Amino acid sequence: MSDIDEFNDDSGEEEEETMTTQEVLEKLEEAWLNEKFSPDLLESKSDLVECMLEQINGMEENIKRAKRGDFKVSIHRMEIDRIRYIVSSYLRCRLRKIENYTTYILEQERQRNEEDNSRLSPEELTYAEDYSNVLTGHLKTLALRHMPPNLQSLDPKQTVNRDTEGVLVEEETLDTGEEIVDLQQYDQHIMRYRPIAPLWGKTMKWAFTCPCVTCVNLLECKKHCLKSKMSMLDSLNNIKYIFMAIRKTTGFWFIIKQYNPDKYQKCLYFSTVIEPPILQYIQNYQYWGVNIYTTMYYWEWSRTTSTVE
Amino acid sequence: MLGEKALELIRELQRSIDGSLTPYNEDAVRQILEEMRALFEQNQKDVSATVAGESGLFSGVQLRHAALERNKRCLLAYLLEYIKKMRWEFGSVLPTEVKYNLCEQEVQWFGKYNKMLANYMRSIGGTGGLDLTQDLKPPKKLYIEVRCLVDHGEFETQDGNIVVLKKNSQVRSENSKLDKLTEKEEKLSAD
Repeated sequence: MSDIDEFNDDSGEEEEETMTTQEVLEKLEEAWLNEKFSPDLLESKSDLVECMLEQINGMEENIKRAKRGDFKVSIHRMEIDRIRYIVSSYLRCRLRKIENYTTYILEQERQRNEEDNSRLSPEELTYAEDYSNVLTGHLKTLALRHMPPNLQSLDPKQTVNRDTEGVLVEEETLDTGEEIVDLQQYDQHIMRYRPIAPLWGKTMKWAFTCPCVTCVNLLECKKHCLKSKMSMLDSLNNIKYIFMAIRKTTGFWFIIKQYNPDKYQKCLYFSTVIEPPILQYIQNYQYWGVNIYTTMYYWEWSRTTSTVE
Repeated sequence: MLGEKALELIRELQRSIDGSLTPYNEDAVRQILEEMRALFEQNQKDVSATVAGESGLFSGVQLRHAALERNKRCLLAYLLEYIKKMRWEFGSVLPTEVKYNLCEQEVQWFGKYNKMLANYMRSIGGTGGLDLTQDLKPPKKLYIEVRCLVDHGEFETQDGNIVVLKKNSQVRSENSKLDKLTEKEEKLSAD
C-alpha cells in the first residue's frame, strides 16, 4: 500500500500544489460515501473527479513506461481500477438521484439564491434539464395527450410520496419532543436526517461501521477492517442502510441485527455502544422508509471487551 | 371493476422484471384510455347535473375521479420503467429481440435517453470522458480465470500481451479488460 501511495505522490506533484493525490483520493472517497448514504443530492465535487481522472491518466502513462512483467505494475493497475470504480460509482449514484428526483432537483435549482453554490455541476444540470424534457415528451406522446383534458398535465407532486414522510416525521417529533443537541467533534449520533441535512457532507460525514462481528469498538473496528480495503468496498456495496452509532462513554453494548435488502438476505451485525435511553427509541425504528427490526443483546463492558483480540 | 386493466398492466410488467421485457401492450393501453374517457364523460354529466340542482351525485364523481387518477398513475408507471435500465444492461444498441417488443415511441425514447447519457459521459472530466456503464462492480482479484465458450481469436490484454482465446480453453488473465469482454459479449464464463 505504501508503495502505491508513493507512486501516487510522485505523479501528483507536477499538477497539484496544495493537495497530494492521496488527499484528493481520500476526499473523493469521503464524498462518495456521503453521497451514497444521503437521500439528498449533495454538492457536486466535480473538481475532485476531474483531478482524479487526470491522475489516472498520468498513472497509466507511468505504467506504460514501466518494465514489462514487473509485479508492481499489476498492483498499480488494480489500484487504478479501484479508483476508477469509486469515481464512476460516485457519478452513477448522483445520476440515479438526478433521474429519480428530476423535478424536485430542478425546482430547488430554480429557487436557489445567487450566492449559494449549485448542487449540480453544469454538465449535470444540462443532463437533468434534457432528461426532464425528453421524459415529459415521451409520456405526453404515448399517454397523456389521449387522456381527458383535466388529467393531461404532469403534476410532479403526484409522483412524490409526501404523505408517508409527513406522518413519519410527526411521529418522531412526538417521541423525542424538542431537543437541542450539541454536536461535538468526533461524536456519533443517531438522528433523523432532516434536521442535519444542511450539515451533511460539510461539517459532518458518514461514520463508518464495520459489519464484522469480532470488532467491538467502532473506532478500532475501522482500523481492523481497513486491513483489507476491498472488504470495506464490499461491505459498502452490500449494506443499503447502516444504522448507527453513539457514545463511547457508557457501559452498555448492544448488537443491531439488521435487515439487509440485498438478495442474499444476509444479516449484518453491528456492535455499538449506546446509551440506555436511546435504546427505547431505536426499537421499531423506521429509517428512510425502511423498517429496521432490532434484536438487542445487552452486555456489560467488561465481558465484551474480552472478545477483542 | 374500475382500474382493473391498469393493475393488470402493472402486474404484467412486474412479472417480466427478471426475464425479458414483454411486448408493448397497446391493446391494454387503449382500453385503459377508453375507460378513462368513459369515466370522464360520466363525471361531466354528473357534474352538470349537480350544478343544475340535483344532489347525491357527488360521491360518485369523487370515486370516478380517484379511479381516473389511479389509471393515469399506473399507465405512466408502465411507460416509464425498465427502458432506462436496458441502456445500462445492453449498452447503446438494443438486441433485436428486445427492440421487437418495444413500440415505436419507446424506441425513440430509448434513443434519446441513450444520446443524453452519452453526452453526459463524454463531458465528465477534461479529456474524453468516462464510461459509467463500465466498472459496475468493485474489482476484487488481480487475475480472473475464464473459459472461452466461443472462438474469439486474439485478444490483447492491457499490458500488451496477446492471448489467443480458443473455444474451451482456459485462460488466466489480468482483470480489467477481459472482464469487460465477459460482461459485454458473454463469450467467456468467469470461473
